Amino acid sequence: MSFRRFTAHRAAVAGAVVVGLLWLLALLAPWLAPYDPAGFTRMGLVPPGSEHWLGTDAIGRDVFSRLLFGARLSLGVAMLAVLVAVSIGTAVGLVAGFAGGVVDTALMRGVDLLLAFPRLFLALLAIALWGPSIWLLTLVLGLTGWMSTARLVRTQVLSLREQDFVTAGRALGVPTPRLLLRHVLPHCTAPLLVAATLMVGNTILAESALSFLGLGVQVPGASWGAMLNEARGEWRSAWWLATFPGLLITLTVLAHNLVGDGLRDLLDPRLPVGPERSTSP
Amino acid sequence: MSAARPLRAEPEPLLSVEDLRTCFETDAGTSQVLAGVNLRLGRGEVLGLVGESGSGKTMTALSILGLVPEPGRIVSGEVRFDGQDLRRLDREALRQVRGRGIAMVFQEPQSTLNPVRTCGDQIGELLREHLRMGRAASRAQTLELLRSVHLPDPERVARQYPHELSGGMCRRVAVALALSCQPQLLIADEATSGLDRTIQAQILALLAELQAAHDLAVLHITHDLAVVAETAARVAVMYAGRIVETGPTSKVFAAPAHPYTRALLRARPGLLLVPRRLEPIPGVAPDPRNLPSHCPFQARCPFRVERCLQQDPEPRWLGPEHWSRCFVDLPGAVG
Repeated sequence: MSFRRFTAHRAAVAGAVVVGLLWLLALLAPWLAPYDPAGFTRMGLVPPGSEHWLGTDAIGRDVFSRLLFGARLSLGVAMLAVLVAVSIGTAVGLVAGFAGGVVDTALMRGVDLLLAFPRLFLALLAIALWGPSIWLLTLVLGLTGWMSTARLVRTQVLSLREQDFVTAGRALGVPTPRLLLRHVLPHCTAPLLVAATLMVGNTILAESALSFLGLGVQVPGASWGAMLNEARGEWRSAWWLATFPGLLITLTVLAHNLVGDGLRDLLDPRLPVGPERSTSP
Repeated sequence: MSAARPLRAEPEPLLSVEDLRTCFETDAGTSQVLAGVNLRLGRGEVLGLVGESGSGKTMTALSILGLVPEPGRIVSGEVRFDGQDLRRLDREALRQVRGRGIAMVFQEPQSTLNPVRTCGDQIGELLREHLRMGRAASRAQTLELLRSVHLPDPERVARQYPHELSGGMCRRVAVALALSCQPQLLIADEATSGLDRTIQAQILALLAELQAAHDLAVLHITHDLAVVAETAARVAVMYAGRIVETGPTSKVFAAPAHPYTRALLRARPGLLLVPRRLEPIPGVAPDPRNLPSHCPFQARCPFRVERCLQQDPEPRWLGPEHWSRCFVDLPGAVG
């Protein structure tokens, strides 16, 4: 019945289909790509046609193949970064919410402080210091993205720790770490799932922005943002170079946001189902 | 307190609470929810703790366990359990006492069981944590416990989530959970309220059976005097954060020595065959933020004398185990 709640949300279903398709394409890239994404096939700048579906770039690389491999990078980086962010955010939120008092205040002011820095600025700083690499990019995106999760989990824990079953657990001598991980945390999974899904979209956007600035994925790697960057010089003469990666970024972010929104509706039965609710990301 | 000790008192009761005071500091002022509670409970003994809502029954239980919720705190007093001063134990030692020494069944079993975990999982967790049992042993013991509270089909219940069980079954699971580590003292907080009479009788019978089988001391918190009459050999009556009368149930019920006890007994329906008018207690309980320095019941008391407005009555012994905080000898009370 909860599945039906989700399917009643048409935009979310569409989003889920797109997300699934994208992940499938990313996973199957080596088998689906008609050309080597880094290989020079022939003369550059061939417009989309039967031989190169989405054309080639200035040095003759097949755009479709590069987009497929780009999906692996963009989605992979985003997924790992979100995993890092959710783990840190959950840990901080659990401790802050449950400990309360000075610990809570200290941790949450720390979160406020970090939120005061623009995310891209922190990322730029780290990359300027240690040089661009995919791993650094992932780590930086994860380390700058956990604050909202910490706030979310803390809020949940604040109300959960007043629940009878938490008091009962303490009255029966369940150790605090166990109480947190086995009794409190499971109640946070629903909002965490929603937050993580929405975060994947945002992180892809951030990764694209950094790669566009040349600070993320380096040549010959091909994340979508990096492809946009390469297309800068040619976009008047070769419209397809910027259009397809751009469309794909938009589509991916939108799809993840729609799924996140659908999940929120699904997991919060108090909200009305379906199109009457706005689905703005 | 300065009251003389009964001559036949046990040398060391299992639980003794002396002058326990718990306060809540709020913006609106300090609420004294426990204003000096005295309790003694011997091994294998059942004590009924009665009083109206807000008199501090549950807070007494939570204070004993050191689980007073924020912004409350224990101000003074002593809680001794099994030779240990619970207020001086460190966190880890206190955790060991909770569950193993003292276990509690809460008012709403349905909400005290974690809704996202199976019943068996929650019991098994305690067995592994407290008794260091292995997976297989804890699983077998879990089924044994569920069987001991007479749950039909324990294997099935162990796999079920709390919301899949009825209220009565949830209580049984909560009892099994509380007894999982063989505590010496069980605190049952309104263990039977919210159940229909049949189920209530079953749960009471179950508690009595387990109490006898394990020589368990039980602190039975309830607002239901009938439950006390049925289960407890001794009763303590609570009013405005303190015990106003305590004694053997039969004596207290037959000849209440405190006007509040007397009023409580008259405010409940009589036996089936003797219908009579209920007499509600006039007035309201005093505001815990502003407890009077004199007897807190005097404003509602029909036996008030001048002294009641000037002094706070100390416990007055009426028998070997029976005392009351009242200056007045009530008509009909045995001296």
